[in-house]
Amino acid sequence: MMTLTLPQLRAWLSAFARDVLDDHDRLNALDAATGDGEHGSNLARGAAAIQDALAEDRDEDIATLLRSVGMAIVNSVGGASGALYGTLFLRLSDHGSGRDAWSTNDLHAAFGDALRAMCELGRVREGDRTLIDALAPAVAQLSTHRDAPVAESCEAAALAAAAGAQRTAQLKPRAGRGAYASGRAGGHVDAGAASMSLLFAALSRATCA
Amino acid sequence: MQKFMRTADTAVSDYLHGLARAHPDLIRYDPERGIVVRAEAGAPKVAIVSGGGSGCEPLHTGFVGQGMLDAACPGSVFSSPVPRQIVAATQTVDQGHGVLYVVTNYGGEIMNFGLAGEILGREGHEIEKVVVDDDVALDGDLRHLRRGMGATVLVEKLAGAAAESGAPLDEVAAVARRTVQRSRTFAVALGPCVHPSTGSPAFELPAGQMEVGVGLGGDRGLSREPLPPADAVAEALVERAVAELSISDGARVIVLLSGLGGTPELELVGLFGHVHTALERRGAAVERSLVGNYVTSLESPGAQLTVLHTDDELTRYWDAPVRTRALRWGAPA
Repeated sequence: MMTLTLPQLRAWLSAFARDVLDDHDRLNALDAATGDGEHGSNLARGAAAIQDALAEDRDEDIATLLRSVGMAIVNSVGGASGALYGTLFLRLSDHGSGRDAWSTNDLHAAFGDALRAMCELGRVREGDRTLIDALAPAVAQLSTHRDAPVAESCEAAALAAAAGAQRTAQLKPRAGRGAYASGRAGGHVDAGAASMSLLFAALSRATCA
Repeated sequence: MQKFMRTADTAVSDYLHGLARAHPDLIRYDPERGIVVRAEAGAPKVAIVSGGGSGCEPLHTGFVGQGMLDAACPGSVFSSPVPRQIVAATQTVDQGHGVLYVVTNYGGEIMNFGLAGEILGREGHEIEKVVVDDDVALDGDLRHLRRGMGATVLVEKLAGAAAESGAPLDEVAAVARRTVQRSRTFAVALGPCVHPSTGSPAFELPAGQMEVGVGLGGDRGLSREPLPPADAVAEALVERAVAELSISDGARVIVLLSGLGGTPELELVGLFGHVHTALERRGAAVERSLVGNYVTSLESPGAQLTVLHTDDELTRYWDAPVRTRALRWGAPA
């Protein structure tokens, strides 16, 4: 398959929402190591909102689907993660107007744009021990594989996101709540990076199917 | 930890319903839009809107009323409000004289108030923002992350009074910014809080230890030290809080000593006496003071000291009438 279709995108979002709901205790526990242990619970509200948005099933194109998901997240999750995840989907949606499928190259362009917008909004960059540390290497793989079949490209992105999330355990936090006790943090994967790696794992599964 | 609640998910909305029923003369709660607004708008003036994660009560919702906030946007526990709430609050309370957002310096609050401001700026609302970042615990390359703590109460009070006096938006914002510039806070905790969703303590603190330089929301501090006697705790709080203020002989200060939610009055008021002594020893004149639970972190035992280097104008706004759940003084309007 050389394209990512609207039904595959819906399957991706549905799987991501389910994974977040299944995994929210683990995400809370990761967050508790440096933050207030709320990341899983907050994102679970977003996951429920994604499920509601998907249930409406009125999307005519990729933009409509992703915009409804982005607005659902922005207005349900709260905190920095709500603003950042919401911005991700809203930026992706900018690339889906009038489209019912994306090429690998479209996918790379959309995620690259989302990455830039999120770094700007959150005033963060790669290496600050945030969700960006899983997103940025995934986007880099989408770039490397921009002429490959979608499934191959998304699998590479998922592996890179997971590895990026793992590497946050060695990073000193420089943004968000994790930074407050930065002299004492370490050894734990960043909760936001962990949830971001779930997003790409779900994308990879949806494109293999 | 046992808690009075139905479920973790309903804890905040139950609080808000209860708050509105306890104070029907002061506030209204709109559950559809998730905002708390003043019961009566009063004479046209600059509107003041704030909001933040719940769990820090009475912060923001307990300060809605005459002389302070026109609206508060409560997020879920320790998580910022969402843009939809901030947009609704702004549309409800903007009387055409502009709106001041009091925004605490946390990523969530900055980003969500920022997103709301972008949406509303296009609708023609005139909005100013003041960012509260009084927490001195973070310094050096973390200075930009300084959290909004006790000074938030002072900013809401003083900007609220300025707005009530009929000052235009730029002047109200200037009072708020001056309050931030002249305020510093330092906090210590004797134990963690328990997030209602997770049900477990935010951190473990062994007996005899004090967590130094904490924030709100169960954020851990900079370091952990043996708990000294209360006069030494007061000395340490004052030392850190005034270090960046020009406190010399005769400097006039307004002092807020807020419990973090779990420290008894007996201890907190006792601690304040030592704070007062330590400030006077440095030549400061304690002009006004406020001691109690004003910016909290659920049931966390602990205290935060906020010192404002005041002047005639700020003290006059401090003394102006206020009528909210958590602060009430002066003649009722």
